[in-house]
Amino acid sequence: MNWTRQWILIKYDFLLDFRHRFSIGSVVLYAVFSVFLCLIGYQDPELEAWNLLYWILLSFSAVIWSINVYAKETAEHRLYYFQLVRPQELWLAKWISGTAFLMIIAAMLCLSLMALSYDPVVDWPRQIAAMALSALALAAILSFTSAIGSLSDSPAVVSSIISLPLILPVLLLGQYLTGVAMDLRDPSAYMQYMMYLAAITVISSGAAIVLINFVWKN
Amino acid sequence: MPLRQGIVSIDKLRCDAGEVCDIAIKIYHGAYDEDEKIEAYLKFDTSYYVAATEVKMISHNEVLASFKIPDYLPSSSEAIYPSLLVSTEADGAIILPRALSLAQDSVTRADLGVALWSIKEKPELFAKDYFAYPYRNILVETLRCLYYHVPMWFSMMLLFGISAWHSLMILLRKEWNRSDRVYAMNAVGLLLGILGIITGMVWAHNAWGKFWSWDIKQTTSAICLFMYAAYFFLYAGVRDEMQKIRLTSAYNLFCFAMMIPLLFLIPRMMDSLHPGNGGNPAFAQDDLDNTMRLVFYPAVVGYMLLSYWIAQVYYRVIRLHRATLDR
Repeated sequence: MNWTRQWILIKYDFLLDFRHRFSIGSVVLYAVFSVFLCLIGYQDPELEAWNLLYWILLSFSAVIWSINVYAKETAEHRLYYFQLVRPQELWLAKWISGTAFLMIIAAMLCLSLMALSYDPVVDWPRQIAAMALSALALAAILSFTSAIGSLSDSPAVVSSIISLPLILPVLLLGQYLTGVAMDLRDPSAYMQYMMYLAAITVISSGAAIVLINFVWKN
Repeated sequence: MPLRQGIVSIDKLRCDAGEVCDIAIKIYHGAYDEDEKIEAYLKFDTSYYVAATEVKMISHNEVLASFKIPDYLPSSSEAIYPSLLVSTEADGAIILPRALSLAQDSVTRADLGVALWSIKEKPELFAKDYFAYPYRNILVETLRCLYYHVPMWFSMMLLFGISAWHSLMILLRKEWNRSDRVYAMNAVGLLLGILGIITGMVWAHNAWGKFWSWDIKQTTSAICLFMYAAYFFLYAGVRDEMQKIRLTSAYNLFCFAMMIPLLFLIPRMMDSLHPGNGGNPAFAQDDLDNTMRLVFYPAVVGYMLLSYWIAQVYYRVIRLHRATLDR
């Protein structure tokens, strides 16, 4: 693992995302629009519904982001990258930039839900920690599944179908963690659930690092 | 095959030391006669007993046991949780572990408590020796679902494990001809998983009251099945043969890696109704006796072999189909 090359790749990924900020921004717009759409009919959601809405909208926004991750890369791009860098380094760069982007999406969702309804969060440090760790987990899983999906005949459909079951455990744990921050769940199990989420992140990223080699060799 | 006798429930949750405690006990498959001698004991630890002063029969499957709880308990804790035993000469002894709580105000006279709870002659308790299924709380007659539900899941795990092995060989050793085996194993494994979930739902409806209680084990099992179902969508979504084999093998291994914590690690650490998870004891260790094990273990082996055979036949069908198309 060449860390200099890795750091350059990460910076390059952020730079590319910034250059394509309008297509990235479309995902943010989708997220905010979905919040608007949901709250038109359900203007004052209960606490449980607020939590659930947040996670449903985050998962769909994350899946839409994942479809776009490799969508801009052609076969020539992939050959070029293959000659320069290792697949693991490429995936790691996508993971880190994906985590940052999903944090932005999560923050936008949270802020727009709060602005259009109310602020249910009681414990902000726990909320932010839960959002950060779940963004890390989602990015790890989605960057791998979108790598697989991008090589299929219909990348959008295949990426979303194969990624949705894999992000369900993250949703399961995440909705508990943000529930604790909103005083909906028992806080004594918070650290335990954070460790489970961290374990899922480690297992999925470990499997992705090993398997991305085989996926990328075309 | 009938179930053994067992204690279904009692009407008291708590008694205090030094008081008379009347406990109405409901018995499963109780068939007491009016003149039958019924004994009842409260048992703490392995050697401390309190015998009931009087046991009256209310009906053929309900008795009322009267206990004079000694003034002190054989422990320096404020409360103990003794087991309740009911015994007859004809049917042997039945037990309800941690039946109720006994509380005491003074915790300094455990020595007196030990003396009061030690009886001169230990009761001669025995389990009646006859061929019957064990009685288990909550499960009761639904225990029989064990023969279907658990072997199906074992077989599913076997098939998914074999398919993961084949996927590994495809990726590491480039043995591309194994891909049809992976497909066949995953297909039959998924079918067994769906049947396992359905039998589990039927069992849950009868034991827990609802088909789906969002129990963590049920939820994570469903997630695993969704993951493997998505494998077939990926298979159909890639046209190039080599690409298809490579991508589906990588995805299969990823699913297997995610399935292990989902099915085995996370449910064990969370609250669950399911046996073997959430602090509940695992099923086969203490809940089965040799009557059920006689059928259960061969059932597991039989389902595993049968499912592997079905997967092999399906693999041959795929090969034949491919050979026919190639002509």
